[in-house]
Amino acid sequence: MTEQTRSDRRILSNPPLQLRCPDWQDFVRTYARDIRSGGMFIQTEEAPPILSFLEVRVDLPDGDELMLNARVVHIMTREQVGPHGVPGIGVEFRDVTAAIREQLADLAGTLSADHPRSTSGVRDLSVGASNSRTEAEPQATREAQRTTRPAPPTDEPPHSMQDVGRPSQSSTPQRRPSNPALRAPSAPSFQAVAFKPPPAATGPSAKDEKATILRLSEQLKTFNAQTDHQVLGVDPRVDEAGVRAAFISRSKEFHPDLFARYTTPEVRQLATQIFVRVKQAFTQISEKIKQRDPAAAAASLARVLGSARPSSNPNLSSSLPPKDEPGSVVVLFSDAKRHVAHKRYEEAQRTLEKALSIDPNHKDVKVLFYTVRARRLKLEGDVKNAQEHYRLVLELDDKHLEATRELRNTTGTTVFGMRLTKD
Amino acid sequence: MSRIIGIDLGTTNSCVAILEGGEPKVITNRQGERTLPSVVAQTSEGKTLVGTLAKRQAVMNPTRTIHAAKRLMGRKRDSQEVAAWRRSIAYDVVAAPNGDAWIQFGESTLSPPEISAIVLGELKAMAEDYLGEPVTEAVITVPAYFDDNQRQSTKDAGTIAGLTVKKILNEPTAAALAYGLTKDKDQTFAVFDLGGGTFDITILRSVGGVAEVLATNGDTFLGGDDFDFALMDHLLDEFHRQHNADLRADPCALQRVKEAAETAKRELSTAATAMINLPFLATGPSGPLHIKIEKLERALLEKLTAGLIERLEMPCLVALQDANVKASDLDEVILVGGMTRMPAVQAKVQAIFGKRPARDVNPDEIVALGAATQCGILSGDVSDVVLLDVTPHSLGVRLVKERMSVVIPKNTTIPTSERTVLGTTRDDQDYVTIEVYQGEADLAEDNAPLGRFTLEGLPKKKKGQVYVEITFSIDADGVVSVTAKEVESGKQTSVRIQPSGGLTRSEVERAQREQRKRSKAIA
Repeated sequence: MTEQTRSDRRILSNPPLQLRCPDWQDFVRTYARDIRSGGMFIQTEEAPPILSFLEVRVDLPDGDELMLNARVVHIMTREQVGPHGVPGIGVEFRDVTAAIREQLADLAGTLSADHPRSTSGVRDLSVGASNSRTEAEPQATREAQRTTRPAPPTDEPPHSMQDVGRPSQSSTPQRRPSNPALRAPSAPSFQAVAFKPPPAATGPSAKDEKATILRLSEQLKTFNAQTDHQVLGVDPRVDEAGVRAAFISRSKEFHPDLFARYTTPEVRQLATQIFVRVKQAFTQISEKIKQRDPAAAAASLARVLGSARPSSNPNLSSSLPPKDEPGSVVVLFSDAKRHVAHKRYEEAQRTLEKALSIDPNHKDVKVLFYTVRARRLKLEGDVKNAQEHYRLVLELDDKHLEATRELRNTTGTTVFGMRLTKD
Repeated sequence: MSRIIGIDLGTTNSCVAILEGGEPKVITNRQGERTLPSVVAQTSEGKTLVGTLAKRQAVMNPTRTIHAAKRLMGRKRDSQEVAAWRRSIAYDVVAAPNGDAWIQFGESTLSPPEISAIVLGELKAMAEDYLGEPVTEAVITVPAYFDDNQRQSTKDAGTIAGLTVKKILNEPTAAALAYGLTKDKDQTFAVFDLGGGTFDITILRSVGGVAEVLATNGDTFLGGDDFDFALMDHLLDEFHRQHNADLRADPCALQRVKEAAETAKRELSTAATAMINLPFLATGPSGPLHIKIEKLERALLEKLTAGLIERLEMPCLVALQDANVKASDLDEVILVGGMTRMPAVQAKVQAIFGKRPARDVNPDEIVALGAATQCGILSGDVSDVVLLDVTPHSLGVRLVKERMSVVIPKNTTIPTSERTVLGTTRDDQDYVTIEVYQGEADLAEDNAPLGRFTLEGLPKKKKGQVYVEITFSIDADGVVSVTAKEVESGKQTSVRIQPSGGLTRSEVERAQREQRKRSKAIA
């Protein structure tokens, strides 16, 4: 499985570049100057394409390897650098997370303590056979001597390691470091997953389905014939908590999700119809309870009035003042009603306009707004336009007394408007 | 009947989970990854790549790398949302004959459901790999604000991937389900979901094992991307100041800076400082130029994104108000989405709700775990728990003067069914055409069109004397259907529904065949 995954990864990658660290100082130096600072310059004549991905394999002195994902972000070709320059690529390391960096830093710190630097003080940089190059500048040696503290990154482009050829996968034994964080950061990590057979899948039998269909259609018939209180099995004097509890218990009997394992679509359809009937009973009874209880009715009104705009307009919602504060929809609405009671229609309209600018979809505000407009138009003698406004009121509230009366007086019938299109 | 899998089909990342021994469990892929980037790409050789492989080569192959296809799901190419989104992507969005936004993918054009189907196909393969048996059924989650077109498109994506979608589940509801609804304890939750592109807040109550959504709100233009952009802008400005070189004209440098900003942002959620190293970003007069920041302070990121964090507050307050719930009534605030790992976001949540958000959930996985729990409800493995979801949008018809008349208001518990009676407005009118919309705007056309249907063969009478009763239904998945009958005769009127978008049955079947070919190519 490992091999397969690796080949997957290579779809995108060039062959891995191998960097050999012959001793720990060398690793620490590489870490401090290159890996830690996020990128490095690798000397090579054959540059992979710009922005392509590759793996950089750092061979550690103890034979472990460190895989790093990198991306080619800079190319210096032989033509660009001239015969005496150093051609190569600038790579950026990727997926080196803070956690991995920390662990690398730890390792670098511990290692340099555990492995005192080689007495010779001379870097023994063994390189691959293909293009060996001596790179023992004094600076590198200086850095090698202060290995316990990683060198602060400098502004110069990092370059210290060389391309030592592109080893084939098989040529190097695959020994992974014991520290898991040191594995190639996004390298596959496999868990042995015990195969567990799924529980014997048992869908309902055909006979079962038929019986359920029969049971549900009987239930639907019964509910349709019953009163709301009978459907929920509650007393007519039930309170809000009681009716909710009854609705919840019915939901657990008939919610369509509970019938999803039946293959016949009819089962789910019947359950949906039953649930809709149960919900209707719940809504009706709840409404009645609210009307019965003035405090609850007031709370419900406050909730309706306080409820704001749809999520489609975030700007609008941010201009919404908290409810009950001066300037909120609730306060404006009650101001407007006072104006209407005193027949101050102009002020009422202005106040309602303000309320609608906060919540343009507020039904009660809209109803009052259209009513006020209609009354003003009627006073001005523009009956046709006034009727148009009463129609708007009826669309929002089809039981609106004033609007019904006004439209019946003039046309004798209630008209539902609808747009017709000729196809 | 085989196992049902739960899928969180995310904008940036997706996740698949199953119910095992009564517990939901996230399935890892062969690379050990628990989430799959929702990215699909086509290489120059015509090979299709999914997930991490596709994401990695995005910079090299920007025009053929499709990310965040979910943002295009069920949308029109000329809609505002798509126009805004197109400005920030490299791939091409084209208009299908019906105006839907489709995607140029190499030589072919694919619908967003087809792109999503490739991601779903990979998740399905992961599950099959783990279970060692074929998987054919799934529960897929969608954002609460998704309208009917978007839900339908998500279902189509499942069908194309060879999955029967047993249920479309709202993401916040899924999160609450995973967090633990127990029948012994009545609880009120807030689910705070700050994802890659959007922000959602949902208030739920669970009573006796029945979870009920009370209200939902959010900001569809606020997400993790905006935080990345804030930091990215800062880096670009700094670079400009230091080197007098503007990187904004260089798409490749820009992409690298964006990636670095995203990485740093993520690191700053756990560490106080982050390091940014971008070697060889540009070439200056004295050689290559780099961005090298040894210690990027968390405080700086917080300063840059303070405005964004402020925007989280208002939707929360509105949702609480809509739900008629006080912050102090909440038992738990559940965080969803990787962006909620940012300490400043958590502090804001605490300030808004006056309590520490729940600590013991993984914001990247909780939605998929909830989907898996829902699978258990559907299969009967989980009993005594039921979800009562609500419709996030009002459903209505277009009336005279282009206005929208609401038939089913938003936040109505689903499944639901409402009837409305309409009268003719002309003499001898023997047909009517009705257009159905979803949304809260006053003008019908500012809302999402769901489709239109025509009632024919009405008796020819004077205007206002013929009445038609129309029944609008929303099923437990939030999917809309319409039936109609003429009131007087009681006879069902023939209804031709022409959906305003989405794929036809034959298009879905064609896509299904192509997907099968494609998945062979991937394997």
